[in-house]
Amino acid sequence: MRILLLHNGFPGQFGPLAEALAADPENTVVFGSRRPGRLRGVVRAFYEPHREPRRETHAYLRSTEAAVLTGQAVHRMLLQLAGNGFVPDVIYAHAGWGPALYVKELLPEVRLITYLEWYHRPDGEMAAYLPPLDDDNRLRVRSLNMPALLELATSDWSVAPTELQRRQAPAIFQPRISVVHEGVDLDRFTPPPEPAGPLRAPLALGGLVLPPGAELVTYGTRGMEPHRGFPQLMRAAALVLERRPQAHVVIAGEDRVVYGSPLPEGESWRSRLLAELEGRLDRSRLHVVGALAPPQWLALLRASLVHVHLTIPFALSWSLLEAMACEALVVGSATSPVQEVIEHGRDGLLVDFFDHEALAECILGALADPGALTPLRRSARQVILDRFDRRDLLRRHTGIIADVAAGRAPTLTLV
Amino acid sequence: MRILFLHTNFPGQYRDLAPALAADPANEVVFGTGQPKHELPGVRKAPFSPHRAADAEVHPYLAPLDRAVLNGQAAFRLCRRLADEGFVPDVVCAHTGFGAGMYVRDAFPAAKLVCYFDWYYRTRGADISFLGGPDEFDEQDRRARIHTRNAPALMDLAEADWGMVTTWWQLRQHPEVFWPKISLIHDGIDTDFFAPAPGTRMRLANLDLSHEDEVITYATRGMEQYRGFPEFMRALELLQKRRPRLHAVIAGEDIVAYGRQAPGGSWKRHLLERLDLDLSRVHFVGAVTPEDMRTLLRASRAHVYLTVPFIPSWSLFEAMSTGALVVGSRTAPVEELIDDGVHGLLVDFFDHEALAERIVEAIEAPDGGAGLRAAARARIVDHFDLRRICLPLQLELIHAVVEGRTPPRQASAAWAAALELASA
Repeated sequence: MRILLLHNGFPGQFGPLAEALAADPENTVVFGSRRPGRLRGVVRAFYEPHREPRRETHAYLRSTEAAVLTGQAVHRMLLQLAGNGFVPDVIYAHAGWGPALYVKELLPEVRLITYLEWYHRPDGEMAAYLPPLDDDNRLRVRSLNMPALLELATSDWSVAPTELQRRQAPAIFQPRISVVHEGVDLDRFTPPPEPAGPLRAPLALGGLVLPPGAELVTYGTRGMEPHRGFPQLMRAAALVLERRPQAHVVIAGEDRVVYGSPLPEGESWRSRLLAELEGRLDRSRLHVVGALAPPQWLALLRASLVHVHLTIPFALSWSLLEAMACEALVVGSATSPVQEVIEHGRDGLLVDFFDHEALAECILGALADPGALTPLRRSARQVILDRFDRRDLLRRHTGIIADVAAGRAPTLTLV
Repeated sequence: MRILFLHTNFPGQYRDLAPALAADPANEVVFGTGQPKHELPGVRKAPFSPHRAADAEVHPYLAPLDRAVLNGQAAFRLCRRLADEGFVPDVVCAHTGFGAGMYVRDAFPAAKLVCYFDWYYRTRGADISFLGGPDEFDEQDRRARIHTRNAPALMDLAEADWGMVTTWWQLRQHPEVFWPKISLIHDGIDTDFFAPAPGTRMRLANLDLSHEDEVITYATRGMEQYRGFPEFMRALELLQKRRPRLHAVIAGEDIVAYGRQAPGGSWKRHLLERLDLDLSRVHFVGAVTPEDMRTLLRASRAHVYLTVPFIPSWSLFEAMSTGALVVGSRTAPVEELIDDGVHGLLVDFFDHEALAERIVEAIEAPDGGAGLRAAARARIVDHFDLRRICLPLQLELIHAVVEGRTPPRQASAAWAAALELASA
């Protein structure tokens, strides 16, 4: 089978899948992207839009314009690939950003599978968790869906990583969306051999050295923002640090807004919360360590005594599943993405997304008696073993691709 | 029940449905529209118009989306005003494709949304590819541009609670994934009005050919390639030489509604300059009243209807309802209604010689082609009648959607069987 993967980023969610497909000697796998990078057995191809969207374009259409320009760029790349003798049987594309827009116009016989990460519903489940959108932003957000709809209309099948993400899609499409997560590499994300407790030895994370005896409260995010409960985390951190002299709060991630509305130039949620908590927050035990390299991220998760994960109903983060695979004790928000993987009291502890005092109490309780929570840690890893084992999921995923390539409808899989 | 219609035009395809809903004293009907002209009894018009002109410099693929977004914003603002005045609809009926309904969900999240689906652009097998294109690369660019054009329709297809489409040909242009929530119900034809009257002579408001026996007819909105106007005129050139008594009455305006402009801007002028025609036997009567249209169809010895694979004109249905002998193109929208030799005569769209021959065949048909004419009328009466079939079903559809029941799926089970539709 000749497979072309398309993703503006590299490798996005497609790394393990691409390598799994390429491992089959019957397959030729090409990965088209704007970014450089290599994967084992995978041929690289590149596309680049010939310009940026215009400033003058209607604000509701700028994102669609970017997608159209991307679609055109991929069209040119497809012609080049065909000229070099590669015409795919299957195209597997990250939806919504434009790479797959015109593939069926050029190749009407190709099978197209779109990976649906997020379809925007201005009045969806997340609306209750964010400040209400003004009319202009509501309509702009709704308009963001046009590229995804153009791609879905020509897709033979779609994949979403979680049930929440599947049901974001318009109801009429949902029967054609399989739920398959990328999974977690369970050989890599393993629990530490010792039982959970304060640090037994110093832990170095870049320039930071955490002392023995430190009770680590960890939090990992791509960006620091309300979508991931960052304000509540900071307010709870102030309370926890005040009541537990040995506690250290370690925040991994970048100080930027990835998903939500941008802040004015020069401002950040981190600086806002630090200002708000001025005088009430022991900054000597609050550590913002930036984006960590994979070995350090793993070390942090294994040393964590309590791992905090807060999110509005949105795309599920890998970081939560990786933490669970390491038998972290997760204190999470009682919101749908978390609830899909954690049952409160069995696999972790859940608190109200907005209630930073309840969050602090829960963290403090977990720090006070880590041994009592060992069953929850074990159960958290078991959830990952049962439902997020990358090997299992890759088998299912490649099976879906084979079904679609052969013209069979995959059976819907619900994780 | 409170009903809001949204359509850039007025009343467009809602010309019978809107007054029918308004006639019920339990209903309040508001019609949001960009068209200032015309009124309908019982229907309150509420204007909207884009706050600026379309972006002239926008990426060519985005031009229709820009217009749609502007229409959508204007309609949304109107919805906000209506809500402020205390009008919150139970159901919004939106005409699709030009953006009027794009943001209805944001204005009235609790209302049901019923969309009227006109057309979905396919880049192969339908209007775009039918007329041909210059070269392969231009062809690719055109396909991509045409596919992008579907974005406003897709926004409605995704959000609508239910939809309506008028012909099976048009339904199957739309991606199959949406068919489960689209009903096949025609606008409806007034078959009492468009009824045969044997012996009618060609006497229109501005034309008296009542002394002529051999009058053929052609009637479309504009004069253009989409409706085979060039092919008809070429056939007419041949016919005039063979039939010295033949007259042609052509209704419609010298505009292009759908396709490409002629070199020089007018297909009529372009063709008249190139063809050798006896203009004393060609009569351009412009846009005609319904009464004149009916007379034209009744007095016609052969009514020519050609179309690329696109939305069929109401005039085709009206012609058949009136019992006209239709000589039509062998293209899917016409073939849905006419079996060759049963309900009319069909001919290859591009073959103007064959068209001329079939017109002669129609004129010379024994007993005036009575069998074909009767079968054509019966087809419309049995499946497309406005008051007896289509309008009641449209009303039933709206009530069903508002009340949460499954709406009727098609206007006529027999028609569906005739088309061999898979039951959904």
